[in-house]
Amino acid sequence: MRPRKKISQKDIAKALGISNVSVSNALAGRKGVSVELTAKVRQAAAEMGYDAGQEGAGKAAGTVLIVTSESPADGRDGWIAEIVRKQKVQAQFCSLMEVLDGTEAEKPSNAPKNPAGLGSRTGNTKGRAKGRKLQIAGCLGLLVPERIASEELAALKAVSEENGRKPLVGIGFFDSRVPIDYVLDDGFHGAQEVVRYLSDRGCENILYVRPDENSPALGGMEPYSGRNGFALDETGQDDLSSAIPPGRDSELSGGSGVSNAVLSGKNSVSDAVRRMRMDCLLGYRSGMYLRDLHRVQNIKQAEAFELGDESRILDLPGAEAYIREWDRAGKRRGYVQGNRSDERTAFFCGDMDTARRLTAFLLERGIKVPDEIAVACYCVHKKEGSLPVAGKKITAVRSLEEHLWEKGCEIIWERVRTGKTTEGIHLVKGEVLEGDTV
Amino acid sequence: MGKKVTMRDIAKAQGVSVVTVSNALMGKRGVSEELRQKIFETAKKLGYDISRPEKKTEERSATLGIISSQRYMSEWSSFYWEMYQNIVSAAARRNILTMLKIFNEREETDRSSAFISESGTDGFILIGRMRDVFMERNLRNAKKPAVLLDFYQEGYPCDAVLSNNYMGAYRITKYLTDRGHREIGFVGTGRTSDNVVERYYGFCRCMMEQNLPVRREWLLEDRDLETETPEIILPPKLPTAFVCGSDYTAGILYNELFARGVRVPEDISVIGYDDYLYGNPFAGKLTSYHVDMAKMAEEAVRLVMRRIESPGEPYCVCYIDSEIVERESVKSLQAGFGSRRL
Repeated sequence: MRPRKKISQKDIAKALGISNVSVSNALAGRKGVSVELTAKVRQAAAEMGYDAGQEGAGKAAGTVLIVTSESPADGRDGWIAEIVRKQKVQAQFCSLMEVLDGTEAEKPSNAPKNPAGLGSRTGNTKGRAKGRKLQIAGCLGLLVPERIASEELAALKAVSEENGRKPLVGIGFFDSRVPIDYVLDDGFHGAQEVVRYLSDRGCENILYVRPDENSPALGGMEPYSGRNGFALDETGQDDLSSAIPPGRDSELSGGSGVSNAVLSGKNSVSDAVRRMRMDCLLGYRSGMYLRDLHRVQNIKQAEAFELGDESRILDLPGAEAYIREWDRAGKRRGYVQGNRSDERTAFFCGDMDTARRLTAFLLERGIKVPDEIAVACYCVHKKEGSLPVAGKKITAVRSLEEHLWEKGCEIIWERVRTGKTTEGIHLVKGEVLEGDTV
Repeated sequence: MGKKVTMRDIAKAQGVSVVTVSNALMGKRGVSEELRQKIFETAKKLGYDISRPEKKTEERSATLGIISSQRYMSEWSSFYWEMYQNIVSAAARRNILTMLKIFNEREETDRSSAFISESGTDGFILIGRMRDVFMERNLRNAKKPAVLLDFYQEGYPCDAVLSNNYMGAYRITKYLTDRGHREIGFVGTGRTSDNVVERYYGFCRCMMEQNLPVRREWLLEDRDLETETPEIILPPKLPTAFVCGSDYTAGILYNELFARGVRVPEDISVIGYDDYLYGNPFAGKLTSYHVDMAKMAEEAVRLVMRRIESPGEPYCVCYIDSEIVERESVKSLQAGFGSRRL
């Protein structure tokens, strides 16, 4: 996926026989270039097909390498390239193999040996090695959009360090073993915000509804790959078969929380999905705790941390049962008559899919949303756009993947500019999407 | 155009020093009202442009007010003092003048306090959570930008900069689990600090991820409920490691463990948060998550300047991550752990 050659300011300068600086000034409309020359430059630019957007109008142009575990997948590239381009950089996709093989082939003594799990699939590496190495040296930085094995990530980091200390940023995942920059959506604080939002609008009784673990499209974000990143993380091995000693399956899976399904690679819950569920749940609990804390003095720690209060955390069937009970117990009528808004019940759903299903269930039963019961969620979406349920848009705190990419590019720019190397986890906040359900 | 009138000319005419003239024109103290009036008249007579007093020093880009409470900035607690120093450095690098105002209890809750709108500053940085009354009085309809440092309060039009409480605590807990610990407790008092609450949940997140139970008896507070004196009541059975909500807490914990004859890290591991422990023998030993005050201060200054220059920017909350400083308070429970990174 190499980009075709674009016309640069240098080309224009060459064609007109003037300096690069003059061309730059002329196109930017700065002083120091005569009116006639400016016109000439602009005309030449138009004729040659110069696209001002490509060079970032003032910011240094550059390429960012996006490293995926397999060859770049379909469709996904388009929108990523688009987002990255808005940050005034060119996106170049390449596979992990290519990047790592590039340097591998350089060292003769290293020839047959590969880190565990990496096979050298490429044939003629010698010829390509040069190209790849230059490419890394010439890029601004590298972005990794999905979890890859720790060893691979560490190897990638080594390669980027060797080739000019290029910044390496992981998007949407975190690996405690490799200290690079990571960008994550902030599900924890996002969930706190949902709790606050609901509380501010009179919802005293806020229940959390867990998303269904096996639902494939959670809030519009598909798992990037079927790789079992989480299992790898748990066992610390990248070759799972060696992690399971004979006859000890259940012990390993029971202790580390990794089920047999996960070990055998059948579970396709992506890393991001799992993380979001946990962050959301904890954000909910912390939100509720903080709410109580600021009202009550001398609240005892353990009880306040709601250790045992699992009654407020439901799954979808549990929520539906709750609603049936609520309805049956005449609460609904009571609410409408007494109009005691301070007792309004709200369901905070861990993702958009769950929220939509729950809202549909409520409306089917003739329960008024939001008047009688409110529904809100935290979700992560690829891009703008929501799917209303029966004409009602779900109120949500939503993070956009786009913002994660923006942040990733920003970090790369920052590192290029300042040369600083503090690595860390960057949390990108979501925003409140006012809907019709609260 | 004649030669421009300078302060030196006024000083000469009035028979005083340049410094006196400068102070008089700038409205600074040290000049009697009588003399000030005289200088003004002389200046006007000579045709000195009072509206733009000379600036011998470089052009100042702004003046920032730094606000804190005496609760944080008393003699014995130096964390926020160091934070303050970092702000001043960050500001100085951008040629920004800073003014410090520490509110005592009375002033903080004083209903008539309107420091923010009245002082001659362009923006503010608040170090540490101020009382609700203060926030309400000064920040609700703030005409000048304010940035909250090391705390966050929903509902006010302010940016905030915090250390990465949630993920930082997750990381230190992961540090323990990566080294084989499975029975882990948490020490810290959520009641008094929202930051500690977040750290507790970061701890929880790691425990959940590893499918380890969070046991009630291993959740300890670091102070007495009523008297607020530092105190940790150790349970009869100890976990293999403790995550502490702050290094200050870790210090108290260490004292308690020491008194009980429990050695760190031989008998139990301890990991802290802040990388800021002074006056305790444990300090040189404690593995802790570093809070990058320099970076936080830098970010706070950057955000307030950004808002001074373009008021319409969307508000943001920045979490500044850092790294774990490894010392000797954590023992690995796995044989041959060595090659693993944190």
